[in-house]
Amino acid sequence: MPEKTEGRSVPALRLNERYEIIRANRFVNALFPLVMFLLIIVIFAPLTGGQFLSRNAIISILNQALIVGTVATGVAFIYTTGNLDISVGPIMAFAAIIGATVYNNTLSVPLMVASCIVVAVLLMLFNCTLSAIFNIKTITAAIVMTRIYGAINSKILGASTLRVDYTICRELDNGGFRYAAFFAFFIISFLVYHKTKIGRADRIIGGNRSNAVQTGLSPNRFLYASFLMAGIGVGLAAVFTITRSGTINQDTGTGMGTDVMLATVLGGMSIFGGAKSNSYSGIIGALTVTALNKGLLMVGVSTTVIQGIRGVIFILLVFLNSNSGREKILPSRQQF
Amino acid sequence: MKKLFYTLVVPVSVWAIMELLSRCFAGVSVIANSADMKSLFRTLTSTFCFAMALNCNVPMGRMDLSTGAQMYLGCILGGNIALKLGFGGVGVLIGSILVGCLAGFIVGVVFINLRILSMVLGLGMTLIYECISFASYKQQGLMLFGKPGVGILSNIWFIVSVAAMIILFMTYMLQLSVFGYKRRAIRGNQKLAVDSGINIYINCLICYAMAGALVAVSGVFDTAFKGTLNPVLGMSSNNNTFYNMFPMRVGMFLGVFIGNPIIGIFASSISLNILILGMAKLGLDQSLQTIIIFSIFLFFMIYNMNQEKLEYNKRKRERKKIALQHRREMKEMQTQVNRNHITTGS
Repeated sequence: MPEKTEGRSVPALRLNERYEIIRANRFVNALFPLVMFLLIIVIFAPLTGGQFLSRNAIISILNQALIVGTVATGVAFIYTTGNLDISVGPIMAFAAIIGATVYNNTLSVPLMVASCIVVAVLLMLFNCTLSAIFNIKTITAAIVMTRIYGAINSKILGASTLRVDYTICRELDNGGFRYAAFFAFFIISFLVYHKTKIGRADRIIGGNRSNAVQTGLSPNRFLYASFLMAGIGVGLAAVFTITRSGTINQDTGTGMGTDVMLATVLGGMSIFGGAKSNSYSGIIGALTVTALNKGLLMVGVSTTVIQGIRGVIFILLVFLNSNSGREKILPSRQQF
Repeated sequence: MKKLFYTLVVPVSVWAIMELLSRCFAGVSVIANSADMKSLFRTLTSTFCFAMALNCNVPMGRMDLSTGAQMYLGCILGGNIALKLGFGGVGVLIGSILVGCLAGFIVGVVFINLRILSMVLGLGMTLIYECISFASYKQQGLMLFGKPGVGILSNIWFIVSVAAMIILFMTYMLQLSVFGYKRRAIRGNQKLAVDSGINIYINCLICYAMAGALVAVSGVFDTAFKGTLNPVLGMSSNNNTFYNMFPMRVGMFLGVFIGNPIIGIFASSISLNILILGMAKLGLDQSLQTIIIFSIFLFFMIYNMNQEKLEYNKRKRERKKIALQHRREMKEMQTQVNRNHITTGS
């Protein structure tokens, strides 16, 4: 029905047009992940009889979210450029193996931290080189490298578990090392992302690579910067993995790539990059997904069903965050 | 003759190298007895079907990462239903194909309606399908070992017949049918295909359904070989997809020379399985085998993605060589002229 506006008749907006306007609103985008997080608290607090808000539950959620959140904060730089990398799990595990071995041989925590970060950065930069110099799509390079790094980890560890003195892990944890390191990394990432040329260039490249090249930006240069930041995040997450349990086995880092993607979309950012990307979605999303997992577990839902629920939420949120709309053609991306 | 050469060159070369290494370091032949041959055919059919399934969507710009989960769902649901109904080996195969086809079709429907990049949608669908296949049949998966009537799935002639039927069916579908013609048109330019009246959605749905059916065949032969198919969680089913990308990609590359990508994928699947058999004979463990296979894949990808650059550099070198030769000739000519001048002058 046309609406009368100052004597002129304008066509009424359709439902999907209204939805698009709401979705494009930046305040909605900013508040959506927080509302999701609050909704989870509001739902699970009464369902668990208040246990969901107990000190232990909150600490457990924070500890679990910290590892995924750290990786997601770093990987946000890569996603922003419109690239995907799912090899972060085995890279984190490999960095943790090297870090733990260095600690066991030297008993030096700074050396352990440094070796974790250096290894993760080098491996991420190698992935970047495959993409930037050898023209292999980032996701394809990541798929191949995931298998290679995973096999190397299996070769090193076998069926055994690599252990680090648990006392030092407890000391580091009780001293607040994890939170201090995470906040330092988060603040640096935030500043680099939102206050320097790197973040701005990444968003332009992710939005339209051809335009970025036309305006004189070098996508490869900024891709290297993105992988460097992601490498630091993955290295720190490797340190947190060591200090959390003091053990590294074949399962370390499994599913991290998907967890990071899920955290990113739950945090309200598109994994296809572009102008709406930001550096803080990862941690918000990591908290949300961990709280969701914890809440569902506390009300007695099995881990199998939780995986299914995560799948449904993932697809829905990617759909809500994507800009594909109802175009005539189907989305495609040549990988080979 | 040229096509036959391209079909055989890679498998024969791989066999020759592995035979040499195996004889030198392990003192045995790669294919030493009928058991090796049987093992080769079983794994070959499984690899070929999975790589063919990937080939349905990947060349169209749709890297579906849920194919592994479709395999688990198809085999666990379809296989168990067939076993409960007492249908035996052929029934297990048909049941798995039907459920796999349905699983692929559902992914296709979701893809068409949500328009999410296939790779990302595949991750979400993997989580859902793994959950369903894990939760069904008391997390037991599909057990074929010791079940009556499933022996046919290990019969080498049955395996060869199924592989031959798949080659013929896929060659017809992708190379000779109207569907294949439209698929190639969409692959060339989706927008132009739409404008010329091709229904890209139906084509896409058929691709997804075919891929689902093919991975189910792959899963059934793999289960027949191993005895059981244990359900997995945490995206582990993706390993199958990643693993079979190698024969698929090499097969597509060979297919350009052979003129038939299906035969190309078959040749690359044989090569990969001979390589694996050879490495097993050499006593290399699973991790080392994976590192070697994926390192070869990486080098192949680097070569493949930089082919144009390499050819450009080759042409540039040739041009440079011609230019240098020309300059040398000019210089010689100039020297000759100068000499003549001096001779004439003196």
